[in-house]
Amino acid sequence: MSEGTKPETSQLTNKELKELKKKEKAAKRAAKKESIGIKPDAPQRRGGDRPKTASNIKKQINQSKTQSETLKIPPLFGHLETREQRISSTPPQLANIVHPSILTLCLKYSTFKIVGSTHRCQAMLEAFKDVIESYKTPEGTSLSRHLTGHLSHQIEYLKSARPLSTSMGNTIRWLKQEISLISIDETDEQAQLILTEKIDVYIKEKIEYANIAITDSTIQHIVDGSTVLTFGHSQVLLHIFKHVATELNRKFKLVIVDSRPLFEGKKLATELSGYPNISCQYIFINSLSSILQEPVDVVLLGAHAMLSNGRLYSRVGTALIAMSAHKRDIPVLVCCQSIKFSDKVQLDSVTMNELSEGQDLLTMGSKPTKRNGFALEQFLKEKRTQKEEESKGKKNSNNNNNSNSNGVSLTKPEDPLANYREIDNVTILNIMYDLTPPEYIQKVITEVGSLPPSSVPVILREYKGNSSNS
Amino acid sequence: MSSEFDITATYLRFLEDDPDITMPIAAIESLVTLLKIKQPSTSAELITLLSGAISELKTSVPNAISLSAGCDLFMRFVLRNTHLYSDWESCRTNLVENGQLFIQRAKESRNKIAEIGLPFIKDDDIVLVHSYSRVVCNLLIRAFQKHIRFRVICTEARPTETAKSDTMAYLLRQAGIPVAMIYDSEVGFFMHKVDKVFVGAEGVAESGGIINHIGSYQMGVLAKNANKRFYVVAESHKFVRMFPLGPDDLSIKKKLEFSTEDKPIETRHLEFTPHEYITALITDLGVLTPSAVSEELIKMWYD
Repeated sequence: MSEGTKPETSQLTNKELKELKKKEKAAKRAAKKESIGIKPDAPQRRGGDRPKTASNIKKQINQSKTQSETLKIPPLFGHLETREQRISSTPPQLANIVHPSILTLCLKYSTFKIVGSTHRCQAMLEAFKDVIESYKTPEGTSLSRHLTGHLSHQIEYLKSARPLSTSMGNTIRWLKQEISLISIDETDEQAQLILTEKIDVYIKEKIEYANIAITDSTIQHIVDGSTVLTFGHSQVLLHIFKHVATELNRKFKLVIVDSRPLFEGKKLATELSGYPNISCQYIFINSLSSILQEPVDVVLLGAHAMLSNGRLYSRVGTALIAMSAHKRDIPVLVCCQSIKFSDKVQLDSVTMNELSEGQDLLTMGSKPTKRNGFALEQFLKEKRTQKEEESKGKKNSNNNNNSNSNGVSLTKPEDPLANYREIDNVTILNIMYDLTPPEYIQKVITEVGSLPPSSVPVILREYKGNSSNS
Repeated sequence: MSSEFDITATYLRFLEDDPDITMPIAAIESLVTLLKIKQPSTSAELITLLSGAISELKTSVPNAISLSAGCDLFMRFVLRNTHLYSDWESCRTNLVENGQLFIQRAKESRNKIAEIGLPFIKDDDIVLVHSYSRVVCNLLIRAFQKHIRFRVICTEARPTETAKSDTMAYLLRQAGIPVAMIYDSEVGFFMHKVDKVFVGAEGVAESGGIINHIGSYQMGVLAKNANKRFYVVAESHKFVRMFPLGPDDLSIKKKLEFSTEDKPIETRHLEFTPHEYITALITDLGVLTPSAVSEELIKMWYD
């Protein structure tokens, strides 16, 4: 049988290939049209139900485009979305309906002006308040139906800056439910008032009061004269340290472990520098093993998300710290609000993660990386390629070495890897998060109490039940 | 009404009158008696009265961990139920009735545990027990009554005064179970002979770890090292909302005193056994893994 079908299959594949090519061409044409600014009928888009095929094809094209460019990520992490992919996959016409405060927020997210899951979530809610306040229900629909769609567009745009954090996801889910609960009879003003009030209450309850509750159950672990080790920056931990130093007037030593390229620990160190009761020690994660030779009483960690299998998803480096502390029998405590609890299950930090710019790892110096906006970068890139082409045109017959030296001259000469995109055998990986297994975590402190990491699903269940009841 | 109602004395009397009663139950019972006698007229008065009595109890009794479990449970129950009733009188009587019902149920729970724990004891087993625990004793005697032939190794549990260790051996021997007494320092020596370990608990922490008479921790470590099963037998009203990471986090802190002169040994009575050494908890709610304790606690407190 197989012998008989052989020629047929080859024919079929040829046909298929042709068809595929046709499709691709059509898609490219469509994409071009879109990028020029011809909108495929807008009302359809507003419905929130974008034609799936078009966007899918666009995504494919985008991927093929970036892959044909120099994609300098280790193959294992190739499935993670790069910033370019993220930006090109958001429809450009979205920018027209995005609220200015969302635009500002996006910029702050993508330049890492606002980092940290809680901080990001709070900033997002504030921006949403602006969006809701300046929102007008179009005729023919009701607020409870249309506003969610409108918000979705804003969120879609937000995602282009950085992927949503778990706390943001949970918050958005909550907000959408609140919107859907608003009765049709309310006027816009009334509904806006209700929603902004609800958002304020949410920030108060889920973030501010949660911080206080978490502080209350954590302070017993920071006694007078103890040594605490922490990693990076966390809003809750900052609150705890301040509280212990001022309200309880306890003296303690704080070891702040920091890492490149975000230098979040510096933020914590500067915030705590005015407190005489805290003697801070700032170290890099590289010297962790030597600092753990000295007695450390407890390790306090912040979280990006607590997954339902008890694993902690947090800034890359956390797992290393938890493991080292566990090996030395130092209790590892995680402080985290219940909005960061996720029903996801993840077994490794490869399948889902956030990819950041590889360039950030290369910038020397101790300042957090300053990043240009995407548009500006694109512009600079274009200029650079133009220049290169010009120079190539001039020295047509010259060998590659010259063009290479040309690339170097554009960037700082002291960075040996500055032109890593041109070096074939170099890839750079800058991931944002890692996963800490539950064995290394002694307890998770939330506003509803302390629990072992194995009990995360319980909180999820109870918490979800509560929110649906109220 | 008698204005000088002494809650601590009542509590201690309850404990004395009924040797079978546990500390949390005695605490709840004395709180119920307090309600019966004092008859507070508003809910605010009730709550201040109760919280005052609870803090008094907690401070006056040296070993307050398992007691506080009962107090917190009752307080929680009161706070949740006061707003359910429209008129105050029915609310108060209801509280008292419910409190008594709770005490009744708690007393029965020991038998229930014996029923649930029965399959864990098999013919020809050698069971290691530590110190005196009513629940464990009850379980073993029930197993013996069901004609399971097993032997018991009983530790001396030395510094613990409250749980006179020979009580355990005495009670078991009286029931007809062959018992061997050993010193606490001999646990490691005999661990390989043992099939399973049963201990009681003063309190069960949120992590699933237990607070129990001193000596339980080393027994747990040795059992785990020898791959023996380590069971905790405890009533669910002993679940406490606390999460110690080690012995330092218990309220009974005692510093070691180093000295070059001769000094008598200071005794400590309670210690914390972390959850990783516990195979399972046999409770009246069923057989739980240590991590299920926090689930039950959260259910109790957030339902």
